[in-house]
Amino acid sequence: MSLYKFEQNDVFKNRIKTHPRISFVISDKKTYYNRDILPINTFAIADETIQQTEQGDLSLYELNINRDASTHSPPTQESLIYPFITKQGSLTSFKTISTETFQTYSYGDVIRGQYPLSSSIDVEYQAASSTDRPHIKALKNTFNYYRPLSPHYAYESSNAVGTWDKASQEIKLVSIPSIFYGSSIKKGSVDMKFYITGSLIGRLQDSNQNGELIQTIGPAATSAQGRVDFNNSFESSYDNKRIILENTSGISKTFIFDATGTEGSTGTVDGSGFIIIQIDGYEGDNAAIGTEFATGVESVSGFQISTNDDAFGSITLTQVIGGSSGNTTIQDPDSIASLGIVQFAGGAADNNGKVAGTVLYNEGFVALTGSWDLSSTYTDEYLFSGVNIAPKWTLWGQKFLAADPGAAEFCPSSSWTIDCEGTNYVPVITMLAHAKMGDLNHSNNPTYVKPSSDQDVEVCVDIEHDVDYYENDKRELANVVKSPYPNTSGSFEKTTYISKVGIYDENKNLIAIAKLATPVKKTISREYTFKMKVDF
Amino acid sequence: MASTFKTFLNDDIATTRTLLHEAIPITGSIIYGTYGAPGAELQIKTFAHGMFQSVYDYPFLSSSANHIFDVTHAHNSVFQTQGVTGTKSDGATYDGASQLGAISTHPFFKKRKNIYGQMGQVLVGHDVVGEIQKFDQDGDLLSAIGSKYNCLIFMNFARLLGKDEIKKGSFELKIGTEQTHSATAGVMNDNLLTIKDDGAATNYKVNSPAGEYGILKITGDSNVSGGGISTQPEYDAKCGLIFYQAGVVALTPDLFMGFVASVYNKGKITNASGGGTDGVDAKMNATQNILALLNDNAKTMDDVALAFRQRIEKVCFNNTTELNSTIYFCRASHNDFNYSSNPTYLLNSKIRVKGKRDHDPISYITSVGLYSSDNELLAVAKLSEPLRKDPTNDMTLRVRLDY
Repeated sequence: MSLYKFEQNDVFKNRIKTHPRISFVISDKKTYYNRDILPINTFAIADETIQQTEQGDLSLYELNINRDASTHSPPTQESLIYPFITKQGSLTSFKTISTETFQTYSYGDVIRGQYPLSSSIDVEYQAASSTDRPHIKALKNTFNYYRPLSPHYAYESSNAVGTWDKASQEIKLVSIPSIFYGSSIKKGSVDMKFYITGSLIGRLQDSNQNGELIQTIGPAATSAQGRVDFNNSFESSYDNKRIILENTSGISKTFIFDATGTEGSTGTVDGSGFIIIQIDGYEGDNAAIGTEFATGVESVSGFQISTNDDAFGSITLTQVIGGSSGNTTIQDPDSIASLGIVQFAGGAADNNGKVAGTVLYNEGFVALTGSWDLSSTYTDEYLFSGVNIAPKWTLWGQKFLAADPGAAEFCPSSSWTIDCEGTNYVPVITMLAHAKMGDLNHSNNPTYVKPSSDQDVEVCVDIEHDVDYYENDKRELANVVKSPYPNTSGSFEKTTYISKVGIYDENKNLIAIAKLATPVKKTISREYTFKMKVDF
Repeated sequence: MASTFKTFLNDDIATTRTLLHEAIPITGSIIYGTYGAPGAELQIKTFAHGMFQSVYDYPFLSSSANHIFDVTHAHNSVFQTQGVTGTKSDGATYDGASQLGAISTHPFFKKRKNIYGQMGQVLVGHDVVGEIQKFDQDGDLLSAIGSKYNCLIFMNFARLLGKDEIKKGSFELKIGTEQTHSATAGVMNDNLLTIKDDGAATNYKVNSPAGEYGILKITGDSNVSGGGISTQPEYDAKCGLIFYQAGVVALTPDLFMGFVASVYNKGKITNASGGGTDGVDAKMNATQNILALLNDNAKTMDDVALAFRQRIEKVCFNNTTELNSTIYFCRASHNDFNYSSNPTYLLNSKIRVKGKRDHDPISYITSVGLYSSDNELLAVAKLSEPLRKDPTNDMTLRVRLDY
């Protein structure tokens, strides 16, 4: 065996950055991790998996698979694998043993732990009225630490961005243990969804990579509607009188009635820019007057107000673009007799683009504060309070409750998902081992020498009652050179086959072995460089 | 960033080693019977070479399954003429020649020999002339041939369970040696022998290249023929070896033959009902004992492993993991660390926590940094609560670094 020292350029230390994908689905009090469903334990512990945990939990060592925990009572009756330690001077104990409990043990006592050690995603809802929220308050400094990234991280705010106080506002804290994501959650990878009966009703993404969870999918904006009722059937009541409409973009159009038949047909624009509503010949027919008005409104290209005629003189006007703008823009400046006007109302803008929460990337928390309704029609008993309420982001993942619903279903129509990527670093050492020309051409392997009946016997010499063993130095090396001709060997050449490379520390302790898939032939004229990589 | 460094003296650094154990109970229901019919058990992985079986704690195709141990058996070249141990505990000799006369023609003869040689190389090593040594009953490898194990059943426990080593004196195996065959595990576990490495915590062997090993014996906890074993000849008989660091248990097939000639056929590993119509042990013949089973050309090594597994009632042991720690005693004497370079320590160029000029300076220690010789920060220890430090007190902070 030959030992070579690594030179300066033979050892590289790198770090591989990996991004493991994480996915949680929460539905009806259960969590599913990476869409995996573990079998249920056959020993009748309700809903417990074979790993003795709930669905979606991570078992640290994954021991005690499908065992009967009910008969486990150490040390007399053991059915589960469990750790134990003896209290001694090093004061080593388990993390789950408190200092106070540790002090109750005497030296020499056995301290028992238990498996599984599990880890899982957790959600914590705080109503606006609740002030008992230690987990939120403990994160005050952390929230404020992230403020350079986005003003939405601020624990308290009263500026143009908004006014809130995380110590008292309605909030949902989602906790993801670091065992799932590693060093930090990857920025820009968080994707949260809210489903009702399998239909997506809301989606949050940190698309700006600054921790703001922005709603990208939500309920569409609703359009404002108004109505004009033509109750008067006398042509003269309308002649030369105006109705003014304004759309959501702030564009106004004036419609003027003509009962004389001289100004042009409906839809004609006169010299003042007014749109003619021709009602000549409609005396006594208020429904026809209304229909003519609807025709005039529809004739305006790109006006973005649509009409609906009930054929009885009532015209419903709808702002095509959703939102609340233009809610009061039906004007009757000439006071048409008996004209009924119901102003535009009911319009609402969508909440897409709004920030519904923030992500604490390094700590693994998501704080959801978006409290707007995600559905105008669906409600459920999300707070187990006897009152049905609309879904909203602060109710995302509503799984754990102060009042336990027991075996009863809990909001079975709602389900939630969170997908993200973690960031995990893998330190790597790359080593280059060189087999240079002229080196490593001899082996101590017994088969390297030629087998021979008289020469491979070791020689024993007795010198004053001591026994020494010598290897015969006349032994011939085996010739493994292949010849192209049958029944003969090629010209002898020192040849070895390298099958493994050993790594030694500075004290020549063997600390690692790298094996080759197939041995490589090494002759005096050949040289190799073996690249070895160790992950940690 | 620290502004004051103190150098550790020799007495300030101590190393400790703590042993963390796990109790590993493996019930017979995991090893046999729960996950399918014999020969098609989902938690047993068999191989085309047929040289050993791997036992898992759950159907092995599941990613949740853990490998528990491998089971196999082996014998050496003299097994054919000398039997299992050459001589029995009462001095009688086996009629090995008559029982094993044709074993050299067995399809697995060479594989068994190879396994014995391979296990022997690793666990008991070579003698001065380079020959692989034989496993010895009492660990005296240089003793006469009569105390050797020529045939052994091996259980190789996974590193997942054995960890650094099996805790000495903690191993226990309960195995049935009932001759009557039944599909009921309870019947198969009658004539229950309890095998332990009693006393090994202080009395173990060190002449193995694989580390330390102990002697397995049949103990008084056994329940043979409905009573205690203390009056039986099997009591305290050596029946195998346990290699603690390697996590290997080697058992003699004598367990299934009775240890003395008078009870030669008391315990059989075979199916006494003939034909095994219940399907549990159908591959066994009616009158075979372990020697005949090994000698039967129709029986594979998997058959022997199955017969062994179905008689195990329980295996349990404690494993050991060494936790190596370095303890740094960080001493803050009365005149050390009473000031701070923290920006908040000063207010208007005066010490914030000092009311009057003649008051003592006060600081609050929140963390301890460990630095290398060239002042690189290597580790930080945090206190659960800040400690008040002023010239009237001194303290030693004990920082433990586990590896």
